[in-house]
Amino acid sequence: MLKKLIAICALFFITINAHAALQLQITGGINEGRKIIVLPFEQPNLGVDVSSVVSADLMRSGKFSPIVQSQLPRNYLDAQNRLNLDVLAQTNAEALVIGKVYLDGDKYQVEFQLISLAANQRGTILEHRRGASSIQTMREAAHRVSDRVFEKLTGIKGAFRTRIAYIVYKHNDKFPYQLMTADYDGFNETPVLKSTEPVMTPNWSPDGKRLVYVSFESRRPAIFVHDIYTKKRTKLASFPGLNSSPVWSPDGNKIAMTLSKDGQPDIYYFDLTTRRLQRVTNSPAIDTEPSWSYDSQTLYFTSERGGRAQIYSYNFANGKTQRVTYQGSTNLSSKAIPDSNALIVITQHQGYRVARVDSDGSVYMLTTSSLDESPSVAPNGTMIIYSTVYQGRKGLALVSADGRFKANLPSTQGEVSSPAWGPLTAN
Amino acid sequence: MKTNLWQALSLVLGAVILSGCATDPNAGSNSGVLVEDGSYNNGGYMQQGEVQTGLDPDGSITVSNDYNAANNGFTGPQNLRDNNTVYFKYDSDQILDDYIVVMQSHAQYLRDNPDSRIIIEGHTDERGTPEYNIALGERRARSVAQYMQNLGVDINQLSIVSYGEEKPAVIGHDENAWSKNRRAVINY
Repeated sequence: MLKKLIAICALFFITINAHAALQLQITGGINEGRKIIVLPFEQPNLGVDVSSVVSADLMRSGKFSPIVQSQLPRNYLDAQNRLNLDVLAQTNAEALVIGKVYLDGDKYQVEFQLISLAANQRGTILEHRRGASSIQTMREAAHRVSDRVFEKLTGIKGAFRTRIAYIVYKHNDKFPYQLMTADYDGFNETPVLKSTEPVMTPNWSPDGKRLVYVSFESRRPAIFVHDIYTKKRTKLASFPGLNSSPVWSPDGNKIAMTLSKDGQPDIYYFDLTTRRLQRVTNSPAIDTEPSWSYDSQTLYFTSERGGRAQIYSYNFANGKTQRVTYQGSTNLSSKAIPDSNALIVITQHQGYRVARVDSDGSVYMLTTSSLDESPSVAPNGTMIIYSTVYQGRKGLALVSADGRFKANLPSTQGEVSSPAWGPLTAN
Repeated sequence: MKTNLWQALSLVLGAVILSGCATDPNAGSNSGVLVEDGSYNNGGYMQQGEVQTGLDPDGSITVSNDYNAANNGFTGPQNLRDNNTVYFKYDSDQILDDYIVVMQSHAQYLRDNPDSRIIIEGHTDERGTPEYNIALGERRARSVAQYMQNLGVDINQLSIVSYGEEKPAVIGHDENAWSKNRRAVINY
């Protein structure tokens, strides 16, 4: 067999310490993904090891199991420092990512190639791209490499350049309740709001510029819209009783919420176009936790109208309400999955667990923990971030939509809750 | 000794640009339901102290409200200050017999002092979802308010607020903490 040899220059093996507000501890599914090799990029020390970021992204997607450097065959480089793809292919990896970062004027160029290791197209360059980045945006540039590789191999858009919002509770802080945003992997944490009183349920505008949340700063719950760039805040609702669970419609035109101003909690939405508040449900039981379908045509919500809490849907086109979940004694916090008829819920089963309800109504448990809440689905539908209690502390966790990959994201300080995955905004 | 590896076709990736247009929720309201920065009158609900806002050196907005100062202002009988909490069973808003005495003594004081007003805070343990727990906390607060009314307290002396699971009395993730957190608190 013809050996395909590709030469590369000296490889720099760099260890870099960078700090994420949320660490990653993988608890399941590490070896079940598609095998891929990400070789260390040829790069100067920039504070970011690009190949480590790419490797971690691909692993965290739940779809890939990058092979760690120490498990590569020793002889994959020949005496002239050339890559032997046949040797690398012995690992059963389907593809290889190589790349480099180099100075180009006052910027750096990040360049990578995705090379097939499959027997029938070994050596074929599947993707080769280059892009400029400053040192400050190097993590983002690395996530962009991950996005390209992920999309090329899966056909699904990568969601590695997304932000998450969450609440950190620091018991002894002057402002114990803190609303933060961070990269989806916990890096670049940015405080948005700090309060002496509770802050709840942040949710993103579809353009990723604003957050809507509940704040008790005036000692009563009020819903605020907060522009994270201009820092301008607007109070949207502060009715007697509950003002809770604000959620922005994917088309950007409406904000659904739960209000109890007319008695029991019911679902309403504020129409940002007509600037009117519309009532959606009117039932003597608790209706809460509105969430939108991706076409903004259906509102899902939790209702106790049938006895215990179950998921219902309201269709804007025909004005009809119907029950969605039947399996499980209690289902809460429904979230739609993009390009899918399935829903993510919190189901009561030996505690509260993240589960997926498929279109045939069957419930598939995704976790085995007991205090899960606030699930939020990645904008490409592959992962769910939620909060749970892990080793005696409330923190965030990730599970893939197929339940295979699981990881905890323990925080460096405080108890973390209410994660909300932001939209895909960059190209 | 770089090779033709890097001479293949390359596509230049542009920088991320976060820009674009969107609807502006800050525009004025003509429906009367939108609250414009506190201009809405919350019919009969008490205003609870001043909100101080500021800008932290880290760029975040800070908001504070001196909860303790506002709640420690009550100078009524020590007995009422010491016994102001009603506990509940899991997922329940039913008043337990053990706490009827607590409510009776507060009801007596409110009847004797018609200018006094209370806020009943509803709280839950952390099990279940935050949104559901906010609704459950409201039911607990209402349950206490209803009981006080039945004891002859004027409705205008009562207001309620639910904190759900957001303000635990005891930090912890077991029944020990949960049983202390499923509560309604009477503040003057």
